[in-house]
Amino acid sequence: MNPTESIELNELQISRLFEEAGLQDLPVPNDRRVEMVMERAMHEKFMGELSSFMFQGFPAVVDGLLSAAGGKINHPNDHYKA
Amino acid sequence: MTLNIRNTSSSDKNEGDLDKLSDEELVELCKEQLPHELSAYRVLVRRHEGLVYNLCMKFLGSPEDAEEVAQDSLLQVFHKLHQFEGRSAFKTWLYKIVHNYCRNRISKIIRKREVQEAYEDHAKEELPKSNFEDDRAADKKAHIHEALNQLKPKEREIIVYKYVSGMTLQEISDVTDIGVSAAKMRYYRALESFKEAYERTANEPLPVITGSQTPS
Repeated sequence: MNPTESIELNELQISRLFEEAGLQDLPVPNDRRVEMVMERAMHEKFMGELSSFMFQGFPAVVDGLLSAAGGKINHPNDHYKA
Repeated sequence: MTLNIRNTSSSDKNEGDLDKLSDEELVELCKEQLPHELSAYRVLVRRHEGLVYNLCMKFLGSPEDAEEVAQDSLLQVFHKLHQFEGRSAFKTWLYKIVHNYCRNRISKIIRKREVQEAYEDHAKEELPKSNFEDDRAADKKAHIHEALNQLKPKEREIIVYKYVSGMTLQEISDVTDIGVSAAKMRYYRALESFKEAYERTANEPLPVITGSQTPS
């Protein structure tokens, strides 16, 4: 038997071995593990959205409050309906 | 039947539709939806979770480590999917992530004995006792685990990728970042090493191949 045939035989034998041991079967998804991944993904999605608010939305809110406190909004002399 | 893949509702009916999409179609949908909508990502996780976990188990030997590394790998998909350019199959890209996470985890395990012990402990646990055929399969599985444990890490990787994940040498080359020729040489060495380790561990030869199955 030449080396190529020897390698092919080894491959067949090992493939048959894994098949007989049930290691080539398509694994069934585990619902518990899938849900744990999804929980972590949702947590990271929430943390991402919170970070966006903290770094983008929050300064805008503070700016608005300061403007209101400084009287720049609803000044009695403003003629909005003019 | 027309599939409205732009419907981002996460109802069961929609998940059923998403199940019918290919990996590539799901990836495109995830790129549009993530991080705000997770329905397509959930289907992708569900489809690949079992394979990823199995792969991690074969490399790490411990169910706890395998579960953690599998989760980390699938979370990495959540974060990095926008970087996937589609030059390889999604499965290859995913296996590359798993490969790197497993390698990092193995290097964190301080003593090599811990990995071997995890393999041996797990091999002993995995012995269901229902009937003779199941016992024989369980014995074979335990011997395979022990034989894999005796291989060098890179040889173990390639045997697992080939015979558990069913990858081609080209895919193995992509995942492990080595050339196809190098993958082939490593594979042939791994075949010999595994055969010797199995026959030593199980005290029996590999299965006999008869008749038309033998190479001509």
